[in-house]
Amino acid sequence: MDLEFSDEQRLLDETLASLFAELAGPSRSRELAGHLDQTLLDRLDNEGFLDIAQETNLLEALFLVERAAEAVVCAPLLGRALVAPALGLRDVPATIGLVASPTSLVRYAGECDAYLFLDGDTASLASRDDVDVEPVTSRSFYPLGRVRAARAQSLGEGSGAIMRRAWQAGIAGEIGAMGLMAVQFAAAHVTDRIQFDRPIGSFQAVQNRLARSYSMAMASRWLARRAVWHHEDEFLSASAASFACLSARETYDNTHQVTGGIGITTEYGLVEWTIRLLTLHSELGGGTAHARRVAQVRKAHLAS
Amino acid sequence: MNLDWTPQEAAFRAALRSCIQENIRPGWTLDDRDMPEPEDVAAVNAFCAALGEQGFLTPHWPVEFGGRDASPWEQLIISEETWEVGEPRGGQYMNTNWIGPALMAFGSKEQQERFLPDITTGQVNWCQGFSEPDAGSDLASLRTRAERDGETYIVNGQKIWTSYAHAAEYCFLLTRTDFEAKKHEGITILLVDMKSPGVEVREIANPYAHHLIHEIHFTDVVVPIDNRLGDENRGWEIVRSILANERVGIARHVHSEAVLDQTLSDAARLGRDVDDANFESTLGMAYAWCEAARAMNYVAVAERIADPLGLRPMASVSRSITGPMERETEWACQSLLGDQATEGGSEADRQVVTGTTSMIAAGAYEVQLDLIAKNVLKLPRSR
Repeated sequence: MDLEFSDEQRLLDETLASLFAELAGPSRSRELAGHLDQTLLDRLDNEGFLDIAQETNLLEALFLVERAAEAVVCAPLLGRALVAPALGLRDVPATIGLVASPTSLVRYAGECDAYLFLDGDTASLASRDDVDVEPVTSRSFYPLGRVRAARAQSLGEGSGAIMRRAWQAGIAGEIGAMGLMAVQFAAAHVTDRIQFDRPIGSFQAVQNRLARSYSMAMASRWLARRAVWHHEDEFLSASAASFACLSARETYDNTHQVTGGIGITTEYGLVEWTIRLLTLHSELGGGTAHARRVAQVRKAHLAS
Repeated sequence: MNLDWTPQEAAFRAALRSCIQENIRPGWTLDDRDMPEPEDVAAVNAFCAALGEQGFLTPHWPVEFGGRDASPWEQLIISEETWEVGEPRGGQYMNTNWIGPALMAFGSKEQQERFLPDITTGQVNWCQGFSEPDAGSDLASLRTRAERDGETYIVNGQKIWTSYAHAAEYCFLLTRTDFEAKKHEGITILLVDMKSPGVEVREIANPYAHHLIHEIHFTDVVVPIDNRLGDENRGWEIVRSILANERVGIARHVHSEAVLDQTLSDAARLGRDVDDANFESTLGMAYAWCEAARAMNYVAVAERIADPLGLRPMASVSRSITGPMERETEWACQSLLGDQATEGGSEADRQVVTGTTSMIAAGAYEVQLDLIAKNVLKLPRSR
């Protein structure tokens, strides 16, 4: 077992961090009002980052998803960089939305070139020309809507499980990354904010909230990495998603509690991560559904 | 990054598992880990002796001290495999995880020759004399006095909440030797023979387990100066190193998953609807906590490899996930089995003990959060 970055992974990580520091971030997200960042997408596509999983493996694709989540990149990278390659798809468009059911809300609905649909044990792929999109209003910083396929290409029996596992792991990776950023953001505030003649971050009640959120976000990150590495194990991927959803809830509550009124303003910026955490928290059925999958997989394993 | 076990690590695990099965006392459970009866102490010693004989007790130690310089991953594998079957090493896990390493790092050659061989052969039990009635989470406030008298120290004071004290031959004792110094200074570590006159162990009654916790009273106990670990008044530096080691690599997640498996089986046997949505979500969330604890345990081990002398904050992060995991497992068992969970002797009933103590032992949960706030988030000091 080796949990350290290889030289290649470190280089990849540093390159991505640098790229997103230059081209993404909360200001860019506000500028785009959450809609697709075509400039950044083109750059990622041209430099081969969207196909990183084909060049290396799914873990490196997860690193891309993590860094993008930290920088609130406005693009559906999870579907294109992680889920599609997990399904063995090649030569696919640059933007792929993920659809859990005909009624579920889909990130970047109406802005993707293609959509992957989850239908029990089967996944299917449809181009934007073959779907109906019903946009919905939402305070989420993701454009959301319902997507229904008029025509889709089945990816075969068993593909649904593959899609679900990669999606679960990806959600956990995104929540972990965003959670860590939200905590870091809130930590800066409580360090500077003086009340009762001392920084509010010196109160144990405040410290413990942020420390707990940090631990849970870090655990979400490593659960996601383990789930992607062992990508055929739904016990791990569903565990990752379950725990990450709990982490998202705690991080949302704790970071807003310690930042008070300023924390909920657009100008301050914490909401760039926390509002997105709310969306991720409920995606693909949400924490309860993920937890039920954990139990179902374990029961099946113990019965076999 | 490679999240698979290497072939060598997998082979080590398989051989270890075989050794455990051959040498564990039949019917051993986590209840026995506290060694409440003399035969339990004997079983622990026999088990550890067998592990030692076959190279499975201290493989991660340096060759010169009886190990073979194996990676800390093997230490973790040992913990995973022993916790899976109720930790038949009893309190001797402390010997191999941090008491031995502390002796190697800070002990004199004479101390190493005197104490380490019995650890590597599984022949000795130690206890840790840390907490006091007025020094729990605030460990540095300890007041047990050790006063120099020629070539000896005279020790007076009291330790509390001590595990394994009734079975221990030695106590790794924190004492105060400078009463004027700041509280983190003036601390000295003594290695105390528990048979010394003036040492008295009293079990503390509790509704959880027999010989779970003890008081140790020291009344004019004479400790030779040769039994001092490191320099006088410099003990806190050693303690910091010890605490980081103490927090790493205890694979409680394995046991909790086994408890949940057993609870699931018990629930089915009792006719509960194990396919009910609430049942599944409660059970699944508890398993997820276990996997979270596993993941962070691995991260803490990796941190130990990468930065053995650093602050190692991931050790605290790992502990801050493991404690709640034990509680979540406990409450899941209660929820899934209902009143049946309270029947003595069941895994669900045992989990009450583990769930309760894991959040308060070896540095309370809040202490771990304080350390994360300080060492990771760099938040302002509270005073």
